[in-house]
Amino acid sequence: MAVADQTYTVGSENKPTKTKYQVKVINDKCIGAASCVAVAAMTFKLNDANKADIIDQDGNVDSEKLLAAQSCPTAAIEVIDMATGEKIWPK
Amino acid sequence: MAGNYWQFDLESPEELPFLAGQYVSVRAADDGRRRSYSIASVPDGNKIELLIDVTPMGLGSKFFLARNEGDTVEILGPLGRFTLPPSPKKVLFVATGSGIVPFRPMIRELLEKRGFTDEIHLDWGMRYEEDLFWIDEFKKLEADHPNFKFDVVLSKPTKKWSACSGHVNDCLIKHRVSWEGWEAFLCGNQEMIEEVAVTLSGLGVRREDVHFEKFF
Repeated sequence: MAVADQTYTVGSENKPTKTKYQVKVINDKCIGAASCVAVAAMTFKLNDANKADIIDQDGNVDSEKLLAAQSCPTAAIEVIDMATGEKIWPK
Repeated sequence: MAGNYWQFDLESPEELPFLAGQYVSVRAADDGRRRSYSIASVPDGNKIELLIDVTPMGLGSKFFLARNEGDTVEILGPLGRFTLPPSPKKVLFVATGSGIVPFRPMIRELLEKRGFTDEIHLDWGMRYEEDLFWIDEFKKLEADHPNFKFDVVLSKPTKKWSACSGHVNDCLIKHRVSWEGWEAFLCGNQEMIEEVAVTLSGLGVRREDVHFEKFF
């Protein structure tokens, strides 16, 4: 079995001016695994209680914010499309 | 491996650096759903091993059972902060089920790479004897390193089982009246983590010296 597409994203090189996805952390679900910080470091950081905080909604591009949510082991991040109001993640 | 526990060996086209105890996120469905798995092996170039408990038969179980040798899977990682500190104290590892997975590379790193000479104790809770795996490996580590002690606790033992039985919590209390001065790493089901954290607090372990991974 082979591995493909290993990703070591630490944040966008070019900070987007405005993104359409809004992310929200469900505090009770967050276990501080920090996958969101590894994937979208300009959007998320861990606070002193080891929970994810949002530092900048426009810190990373939408695809990175979505991947940050998808990679959260406890599905503690919701992604909303601000243009439509649709919840993109979790489905 | 044993029972419902399967090992999958992954090979990357590139070097895959990680720290013992970290995990990877595996893309398990076309719609973007992913599942997280601790890395079972020690850092070794471009290879990693994953240990999958397929008992839940959820998305991740079905995804891995449907893979054939040579298939490509997409992983994201390494991820996670459940790793060894630079200079740990005496180290207690407590696991249930596949919670043992991150401890295998952590223990091997301490014993084989760092030359750690202070005490290391592993308590591993499982239901049935026939589900056990890596036993020979841990026994060899125990034989080669006098500072490493390893106990299996079965919650559903047969009559011939003479070692610890019940919950890992019970076994911890049997071993020592105090775990003061130890640093504890807990991984497994949430109830176990909560119970053991309370027990260890009562047996002298400081709250800041208890580390856990809860996503099992």
